[in-house]
Amino acid sequence: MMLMSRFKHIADAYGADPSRWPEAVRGDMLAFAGSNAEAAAYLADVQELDRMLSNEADVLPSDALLDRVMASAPGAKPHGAFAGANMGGRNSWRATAVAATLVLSVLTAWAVLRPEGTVGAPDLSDSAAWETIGEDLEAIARDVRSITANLTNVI
Amino acid sequence: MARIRLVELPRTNDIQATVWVEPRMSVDPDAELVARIAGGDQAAARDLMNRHLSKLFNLARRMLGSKEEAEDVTQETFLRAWRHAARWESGAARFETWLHRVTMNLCYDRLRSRRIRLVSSDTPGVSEIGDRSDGPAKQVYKAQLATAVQEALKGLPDRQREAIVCAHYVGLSNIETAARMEISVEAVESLLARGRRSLKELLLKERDGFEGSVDGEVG
Repeated sequence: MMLMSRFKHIADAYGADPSRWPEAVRGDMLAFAGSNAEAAAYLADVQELDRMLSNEADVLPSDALLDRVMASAPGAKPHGAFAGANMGGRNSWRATAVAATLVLSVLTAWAVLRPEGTVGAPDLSDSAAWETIGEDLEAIARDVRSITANLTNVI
Repeated sequence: MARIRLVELPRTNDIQATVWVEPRMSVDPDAELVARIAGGDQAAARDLMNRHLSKLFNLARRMLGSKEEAEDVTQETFLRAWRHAARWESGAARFETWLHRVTMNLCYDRLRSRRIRLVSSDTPGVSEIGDRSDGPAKQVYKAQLATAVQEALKGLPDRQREAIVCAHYVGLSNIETAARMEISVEAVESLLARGRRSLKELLLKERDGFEGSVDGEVG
């Protein structure tokens, strides 16, 4: 049997709309409101708040949001060279950083390791120059391996 | 009280992956879409977005009181959904429940990080609220009332606001709300009743204030 205290408790929590009431008590609530003037008046009072709350209607999400979400979806075609960064692709940035570091390393190593007194490009018709280039490339390769190992540890 | 059980889901980064699941969960309507998304199907991703984005966006908007922040949260939710699709195992909980939980956790992260009085910067314009058939005065009245509701919601404790948003705006049942909030149905009722009481006090006061400024067109 429905008591006024229980009726008010349910109405206070869920409002005046019977569709929001717990299914288990909906029938009793409706019967009680239909047979008790105080209960009916209480519901009318509660309905006032329902109306005010319902006035705060859903807002349509912007087209820009829809576009951003779809741009990050699987199978989406990237736009621009750095689209991966917008897709939350932290690994893309890391790969770019690694590649840039390697290029810089090669250039730096060449500048540091080339024979003293060498200015500009070596004379490729000179066999000694080829030996020097070979040594330089080995040194560069060692440098690159070392840098790559360090980067791997960092990443 | 309804019988509910606790299910542990695979952890996902910083997301709390424990959810309450109703024992009589029917087939997940999103399961097929999620499987297709895991295979890189963009059309499936669009379908999932069309199905859930608006609801999640408005959930976040009401929790955070900011349209811009709600957009960020919604975008992040779907980003995680795309990443998580391949690991999703249907059966433990609905994907929609997972999306709701992720959105709500992201909202709570933001609420925790600011903990300052929210200032409205995105009050919907009259055109977003008023019915075109309404006269200008009534449109203004509705806009004022909607703003007052947003402000009143912002002023509620987070858990009361979550309960009201879930029950009143998302339209979840008491059992579903309890499951998503990981509390009992009795606790949900208590949060709802206290929240609604506070809202009523605030809104009636507000309404009395601006109702007098609108002429007799409002009815």
